[in-house]
Amino acid sequence: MGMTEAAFRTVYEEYRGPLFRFAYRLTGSREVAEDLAHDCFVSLFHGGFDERRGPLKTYLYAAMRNLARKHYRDSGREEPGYDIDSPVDAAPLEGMISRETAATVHCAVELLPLLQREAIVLFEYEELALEEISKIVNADVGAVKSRLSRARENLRRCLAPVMKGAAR
Amino acid sequence: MIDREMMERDEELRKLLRQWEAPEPGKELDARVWNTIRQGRPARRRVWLPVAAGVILVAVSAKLWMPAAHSGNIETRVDAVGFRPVADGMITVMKAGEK
Repeated sequence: MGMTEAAFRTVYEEYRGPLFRFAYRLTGSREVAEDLAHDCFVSLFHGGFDERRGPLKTYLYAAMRNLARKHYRDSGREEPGYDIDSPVDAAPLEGMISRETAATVHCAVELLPLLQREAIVLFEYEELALEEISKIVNADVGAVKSRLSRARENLRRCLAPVMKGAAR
Repeated sequence: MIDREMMERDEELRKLLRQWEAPEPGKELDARVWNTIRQGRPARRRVWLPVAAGVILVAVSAKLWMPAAHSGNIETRVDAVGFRPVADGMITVMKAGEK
């Protein structure tokens, strides 16, 4: 049922960075990302992986996504931003625009509803294909494209002052 | 093809998003993962192990103690050989010394 240590080591070395970064970008916290990555890998080691489930890569990202969503449910953070159609309030970013751009982008991504956030993180940061993302988030490609489009719309609105500054 | 079209359309936003870099996982994560794995059991099982050990200990102690309580020197036996019921079952109250 579980994996051998040698097989696990190969998977761990390949995915420790990507899965940690994915968790970090979903949760915005290094500590939480470490906890989730730990749980994800330990669960893989004990539970093993059945190739009939599909590619290991999408399986791992989906497992991490589920852990992140559980974390949000447990911490009660999911509700306000979960709705796919929720408009994002950019007001908290107003005071940040003059500060570091990276921090502003971080906040803008964190303000996105969860479904939009995971779509943009998987597409823009993890550079996964739409088909892969659709498997990970258990939605069809059309839904993923719609989430990406809304996420971009929200990010453009939130980051408009930074984008103007960058264009000057 | 679709992916490339979407990326090209948002190249400006993409460049901006790339300015937010995620940190790399630290050595602490590696240590935690390998420690858990080498202990050979999931965290939940580790939590229950002391509880299970306690229950077993109590059960074994009880088993050892119970036969000891029954095998003491106090033993009650009723020998009914030669017993004859009283013919007249009436109760008679007698003072001490009376016959």
